[in-house]
Formats: sequence, structure tokens, C-alpha cells
Amino acid sequence: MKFLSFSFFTRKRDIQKKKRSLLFTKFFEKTTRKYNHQMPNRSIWWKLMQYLLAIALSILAVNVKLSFDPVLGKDAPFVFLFTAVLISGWFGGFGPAITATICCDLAAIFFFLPAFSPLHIERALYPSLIFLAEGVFMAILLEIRLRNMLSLKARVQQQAVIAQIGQYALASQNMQTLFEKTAELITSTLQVKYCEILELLPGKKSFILRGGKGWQEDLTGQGLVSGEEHSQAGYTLLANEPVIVKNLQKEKRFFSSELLTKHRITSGITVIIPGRRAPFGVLGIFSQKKRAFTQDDMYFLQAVANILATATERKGSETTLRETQNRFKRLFDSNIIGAFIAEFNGKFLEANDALLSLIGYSRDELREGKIHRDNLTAPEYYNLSEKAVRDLRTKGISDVYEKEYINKNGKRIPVLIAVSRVDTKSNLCVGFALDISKQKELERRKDEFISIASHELKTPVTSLKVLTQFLKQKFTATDQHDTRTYLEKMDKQVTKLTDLINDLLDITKIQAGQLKLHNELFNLTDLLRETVEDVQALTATHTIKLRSLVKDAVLADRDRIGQVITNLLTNAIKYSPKGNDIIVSAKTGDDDVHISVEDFGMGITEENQQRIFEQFYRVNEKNDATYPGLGMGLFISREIIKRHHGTISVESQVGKGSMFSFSLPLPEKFYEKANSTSY
Amino acid sequence: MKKQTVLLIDDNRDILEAVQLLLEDAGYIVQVIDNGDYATHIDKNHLPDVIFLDMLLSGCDGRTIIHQFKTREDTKHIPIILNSAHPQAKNFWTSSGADDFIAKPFDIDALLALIQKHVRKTLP
Repeated sequence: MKFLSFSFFTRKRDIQKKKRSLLFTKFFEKTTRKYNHQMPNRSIWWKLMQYLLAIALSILAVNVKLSFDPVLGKDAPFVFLFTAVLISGWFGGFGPAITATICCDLAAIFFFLPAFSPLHIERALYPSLIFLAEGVFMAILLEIRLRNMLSLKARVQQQAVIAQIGQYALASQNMQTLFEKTAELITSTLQVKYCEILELLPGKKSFILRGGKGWQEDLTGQGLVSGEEHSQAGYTLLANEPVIVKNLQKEKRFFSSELLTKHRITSGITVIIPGRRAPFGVLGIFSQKKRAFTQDDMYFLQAVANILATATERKGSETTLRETQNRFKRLFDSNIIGAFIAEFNGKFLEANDALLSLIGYSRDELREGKIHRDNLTAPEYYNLSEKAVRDLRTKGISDVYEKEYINKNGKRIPVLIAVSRVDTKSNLCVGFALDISKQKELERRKDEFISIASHELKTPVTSLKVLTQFLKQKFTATDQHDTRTYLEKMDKQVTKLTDLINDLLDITKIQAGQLKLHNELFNLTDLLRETVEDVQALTATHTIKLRSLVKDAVLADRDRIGQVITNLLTNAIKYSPKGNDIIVSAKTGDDDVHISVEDFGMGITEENQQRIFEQFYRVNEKNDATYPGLGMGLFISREIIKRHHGTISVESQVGKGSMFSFSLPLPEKFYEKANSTSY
Repeated sequence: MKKQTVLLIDDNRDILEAVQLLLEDAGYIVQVIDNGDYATHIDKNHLPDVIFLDMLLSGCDGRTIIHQFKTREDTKHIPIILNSAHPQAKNFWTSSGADDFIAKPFDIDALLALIQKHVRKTLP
């Protein structure tokens, strides 16, 4: 029981002692909380020197007082002794100040007071106690002062370091040097041995050690640290806040990484190096000795991390920008196509070699501002250039158009050209010009070929036709019935041959984009009547009825429209083999005239309705009889109507018949439509 | 009735032969020129009543020949019927100075009617 109570007592005293010391530390921490920095680690010799200085100062003060006593009297103020306490505490803080106090107090008791006289016990004791108390008070104040001063100093130093790193980050071209320099500066400022700068690898599974200090040298550039939450760096990212570790061995939030264990790290701080989209990585400082890092250390470290983040971000954007610039420069300089940058007023500011060689100007002439759209463009294309500039102002981009450049030697070069505004604010445009001389030459040759081919093909047909008809005429006179019938059939075949040649020529021209229209104003009903009469003359089996209400003239190529109507009529006859009526009707609408050709024949399936206007498409069903033809008629008709800015369509029911309709814009709407349609 | 004369100018002998056959059968006197300096080959003592001219001739443009005939005092009154196998010819023959046009290949009825029409004009 006694033992127990004793042990209990001891324990209680221990606890009380601990509490006291805690209270003491807390007191200083509280009073100096604002600038709570790690005290600089002074060497033991430095501390010893401060205590020796305190003792020496005390001895000096006592001697000075002794020498002044004859003048000032024995009860003279203890001002000299307090000076010794003050100076010791000023430089050394609490310890040296207390040392000086005790020394001075002892000396005072020994020299100035009759210490061993019982009669004067009060006289000696009270001043001594008062002196001691004052000394302690002064020591406390001096300790606070010293701590605050050192904190301030540290803070100033940290800010200087932040400024320095910031400057370095601005000037630095190489991230690696910046990392090394930063590690150097923060380790010396925070007086730690280890610093890590980890970059989070894509995939966020691991970190790479990009830089730092203290680690084995070969680890930089590799030293993979897990990015999962069980490492300190991973946990920092996950928690999205700085992490202060006092003792890594006792840490429960995460495990120590291999890197830290290998270097026997105990304490440390890690902060996130932020990034625009994802964090760049983690910055950490570590010490092998156990150390309580403070909030201020952490703020400092975060400030540094932010600077690094800005620097990496900037570096990244610079790299991206340079890459983009290089790519676009390559686009410009590849010289696959002539490219230029020009003002809206036509002055060329930049041009690539392809363009310069196309127009025959030198780069010097370009620099001197001698290249101007108006000098380059053949005069008849000025209106197209002006339209392009109007488009630039309104739409920001021009249509692709063809014009002719006149090069420096006066040679005309057909080009395909398009321009686009650089941005909405500037009056600059970027443009591309493609030399299409070869294509134009080919087109010209093809055109020539078409003319020659048609001439050559038609020549034998012409004489064949003349001779056949002549013979037919002869035999009509001589009443040789059979011969006349055969000759009539021959004549029909010759006509078909002529039509085929014409169709082939039309297709060739459509493909070459050379189907040219010769538009004129004519009476549509007259044309319909003529065509119906012509086709009616060829068929005895069908009756073609014309119902036209159109009185207006239309603006179109009369022959081409006649060709379309003929084509629709012959189709109607061909595909209603039983012989029925065919109805041709025409009426005027708001914007256009509608013409339709209706038969009551076999009709067209839904699927075929979609496709019959395609080139060379022929309705070809297993169960149906096949009908002669190349499948060009409807395609040519559609192209002709399209070029008139009209539409062509079909409505049909299998077994009931088909109705082909097309429309042509009224003359007053023709140009309006021409401007809105392009083909 | 005096027979009318038609001058055929074409560089293709087959066509010339066929048309000549046709026209002679129809009662015309036919002159034929198939090469060379077309307009200068004309028989000044026997001027044709109608000229039937191909537009695209080897080595010479039909329009040049029209010009030659139409600028000569003794031939400028003769009607010229232009013919061509060129697909666009019917669209620009009017500017050539010819009096009429027929596209190849042509129907003989249409051709005979056309020649008849112009011959009649030149009759006194």
C-alpha cells in the first residue's frame, strides 16, 4: 500500500513536472506564435560562449559597482548588475540572463551584504530575492525578444528566398537547373538536408524524381514514387493540402516510400505543385532528425511550390506555342501551295517561295512592299477580288474562286484562290493560291477533243443519213415496199446513233463542267407544242396531250429544254409499252414554271425513284423486260435543269404510271437563284 | 426553167458525194470544192445561186470564207447556208455572216427545203 502510494506520488510528480515544462514551452510558443519559426540550430560552443559571456559580464559589473561604491555609497542602485543581465539576455536569451542574475546575486550577497550575520538576515535576504525576481522577469522578456527577432530574421530570409526563386524562375530556360537551384535554396533556408521535387507522371500512378537535394545522385530522373494514396506524396495529392509529418515511423495516414525509408527520414513536409489541369507534382523537404515543422515552414514551401508551378506551366505553354508556331510555319513554308498574308487593301506582307515563284517576284521586292493585288490580278478579275474582300469583312472567309494572275513577265497564270481573315480585329488575311495552268490546259484540250470527236463522229453519220434517206425516197417512188421499210428502219437507227453521239458528248461536257447554256427568252408553250409534235410523229401507239397554261416567256436554253422534254417524252413512251395517253402539262407558279410529263405505264419502284437520275443508272429488274438505252437521258436532263437553277423530280406508282416534273425559274427570279446556287 | 446551181464546200468527200447525188437528183447543178483556197476556186463565169458551206474545214475557218464571199462585189448577194457537226455551232452561226444554218447530220427533206427557200430568193 505504501509502495503503491509512493509510486503513485512519484508518477504524479513526474506528470506535474512534464506539465510544467509543457506549460513553459507553450508560453513561449504562444507569445511568439506570430513568428513561430524553427530556432536556428546553434552549435554547443556558441551556447557555451554565451554563458561564459554572462559570467564574465557579471564579474565585470560587480567590480564596476565595487569601484563606484566609495563615491555612490554601498546602497547605490544595482544598475550595473542589471546591465550585465540585460546584455547577457540580449544576445543569449533566457539561459545566459538567468546565469548573470544568479552570479550577480551571489556576488551581491557575498560582497555587499553581511551574509552570515543573523542580525542582518532580513537586510540581506529581501534585496537578494527581489533582485532574483527582477532578473527572472528580465530574462523572460529578453528570451521573447530574441525569439521574435530570430523569427523575423528567418521570415525575411524566406521571403528573400522566395523572391530569388521567383526571379530565377523567370530567367531560367532550363527547368532542371531551376529545380536544383530551388532545392539548394530551400534546404539551406529551412536547414534541412533533403528536398524532393516529384513530377506526377501521366496516368497519375507514379511520380518521377525531377530534382532535389540530399538523395543518392543516380536517383534523379527516375526514383519512382508511387502515386497511390498510401505514399506521402500520393496522400498529399489525394488530401489536396500540405502534409506535415513529425515522425514518419509513427505515421498512420500513409506508408513511408522506399525513397524516404532508404534515407532514414523522420520528419518532413510535402506540398502540391499545382498545375492548370492536373497537379504538376509534389514538393517536399525532409530531415533525418525528428523535427516539428511549423505552419510557417509549410506556407513558405507552398509559396515556393506555386512559383515552380507557374514556371513549369509557362515552360509548357512556351513549348506548346513553339511547337504550334513551327507546325504553322511548316504549313506556310512547305511550298506545296502558294500562301501569303496580305492587307485587305491588297498589299502583300508575307509570301512563301511557292507564291513568289508563281508570280515571279523576289523576296526583296516583297519586303519593299512592291507586291500588290492590283498589280497581280488581271483587270477583268478586279470585281472578283473586291467580292472576296467584301466576303472577308462580312463572313471572314471568301469563296474559293478562279482568277488570273499576271506575273512579273506579263504572263497570265490561272489560279485557284481563297482568302481568310487572320482574326476579327485585324485587316489582314491569309490566302492560298494554286496554279491551275495545267488543269486549264487539260480542260482546253478536252474541249478541243470534244469538238473534234463530235465532228469526226458525225461526219460519217451525216453521209450515211443523206444516202439512206435518198434511197428511201427513191424506193418510195418506185413502189418497192419491202425495201422502203428496211430503209426506214435504217434511217431510224441512224437517228438513234446520232442521239447517242449527242448524249455521249453531253456527258463528257457535263463531267468537264462545260455544259454551257445559251439562255434566251422564249415562249415555253410554243416549245412544248413543237416538241410534242416532233415526238408524236415518231409514235403511232401513244397519244400525247398538251395542257399548257403558261403564257410567259422563260429565260433558258431553248434547245436544251427541248432536249429535256423530248427525253421525258421518249421515256414515257418507252416505259408504257401498252400504249396509252401521255399528258404534258405546264403552269406558272410564284417563282417558277412547272412542266410535267405523265404516263400511265409500268411505273417505277420507290428504290429506283431515288436512283434514276444517277449517271448510267438503268432500271434493271429481273422480272422486267430490259429496255434499250445507256442510262444517260435522265442524268443529262437533271444536269441541264440544275444549270437552269431549277429542279427535277419524279412521282410514281408501280403499275399505275409515272410523272416527271421539272421547274424553271421565272426570268425575274433567274439571276436571284443564280447567285444563291452554286455547283 | 433554168437549172439552179448549188456550190458545196466541204473537206469531207463522202459528204460531198452524198449531198451532190441528192441535189443533182433534185435537179440542181452542183459545183464542188473540197480543198485549197476555197473562195478563189469559184468559177467566175458561172456563179452559184446558193452556197452550202461546212463551218469547220481543214486549214480554213468557214467564217473566213463567208467573209471572202460577202466582201466580193460579184458574190456578196449569194446566200450562204452554213452547216456544222460542232455541238455549239447552232448557237453562234448568226455572227458568222451566213444566211442560214443546218446542223449535221441533217434530214434530206429539211436540207432540200432550206436550199429551195434560198434559191427562190435569188430568182429574178
